[in-house]
Amino acid sequence: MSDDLLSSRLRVPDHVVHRSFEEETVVLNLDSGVYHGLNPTAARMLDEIDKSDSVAAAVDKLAVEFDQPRERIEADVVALCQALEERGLILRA
Amino acid sequence: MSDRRRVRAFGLEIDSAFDAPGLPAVNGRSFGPRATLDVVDPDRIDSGWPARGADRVLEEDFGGRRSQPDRTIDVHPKAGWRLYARHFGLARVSPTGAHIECAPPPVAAWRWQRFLVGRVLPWAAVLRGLEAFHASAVSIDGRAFAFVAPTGGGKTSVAVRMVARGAGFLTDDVLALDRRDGVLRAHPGAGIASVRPAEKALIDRALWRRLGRTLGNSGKSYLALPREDGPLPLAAIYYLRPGQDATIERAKPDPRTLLASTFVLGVQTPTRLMNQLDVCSVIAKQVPTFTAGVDPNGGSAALAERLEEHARELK
Repeated sequence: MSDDLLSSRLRVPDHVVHRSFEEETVVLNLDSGVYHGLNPTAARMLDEIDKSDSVAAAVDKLAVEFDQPRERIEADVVALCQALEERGLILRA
Repeated sequence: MSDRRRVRAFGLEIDSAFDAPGLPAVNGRSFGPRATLDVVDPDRIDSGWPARGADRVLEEDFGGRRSQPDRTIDVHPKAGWRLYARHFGLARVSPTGAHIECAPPPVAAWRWQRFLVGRVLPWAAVLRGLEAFHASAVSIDGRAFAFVAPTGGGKTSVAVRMVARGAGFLTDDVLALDRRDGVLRAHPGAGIASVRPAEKALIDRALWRRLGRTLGNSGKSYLALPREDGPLPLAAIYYLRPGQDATIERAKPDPRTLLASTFVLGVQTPTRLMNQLDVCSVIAKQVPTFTAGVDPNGGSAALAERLEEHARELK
């Protein structure tokens, strides 16, 4: 499942908007009216996932940016993607 | 030519069929979207309300054995919004907020118009694209300062005390905001303040008379007072908290607190939800927020003095 996800291109759908606040990014599903909160690290990950051609490409970039082992970043990004996907906040393009 | 006048409240330029205290006639340039306001017979609202397809978004009971709830709000995609409050009457707001009809009960105008300015007009304003906050606000040196607190938390008292010190009055209880050229604008509400008896008892009689005209008493005293004519840039938000020290402290802009401070929560359309989040996000970036301690027993005079000084010094 993780390999499948890593090769996927994910996008924030039109019915989901996110706005940054000082210490948090709020993600709003306009269809359900439900708000979700992301810490700054998760928000940065979402930005990169949304604009990358694949989740794996986002992991590569984030591992360099955060100066952390790729395996650790991959685990965090996959967990985030799964949580966002379950809530309908990202879709596979 | 019909006998109508243009009034302004909560960011709306309203073509009104009647005079109302706190809603002075205005001329000149417009600052926001237009709406019409009429008084109609209740049958007109009910006969035009669809028998099916409406959803109830609010139902409140305040006790007593009655067959109907005390307050209801229903929405229908084509008919709009039907707002009812026992003792205050019935109103219908069109789906876009552009047309407002009120069917008041046979009571003094200022009584049913509390419902108009406290709920119906803010509802229409949100539908017209304004965002509403549960806040009072005053003006100092051409800028708006807002006070957010739960019901009974001192919003009105602080605003009235600051007006007594020379600030301009902007709104009581509901503050309408919009964005223009990247700036958050705070719009005047109605020129009416509802003051709790405990706070009124602390205000010198001569000062009370200078503030404005008492419309009536019903649990609170309803005071009509001069109001700012147009919108002003929002300079700061103060979250009032119980405290006897009248201290003011910088607060981090928390999205939950900001979203929870909004008003007219029954309107949950995608457009409104996005506007609500946008406005809160802009506040977090542009508008400093503070907490301020207000003495629940001793009144707001000391805090008002501190707030005035703080507001004037704020760059």
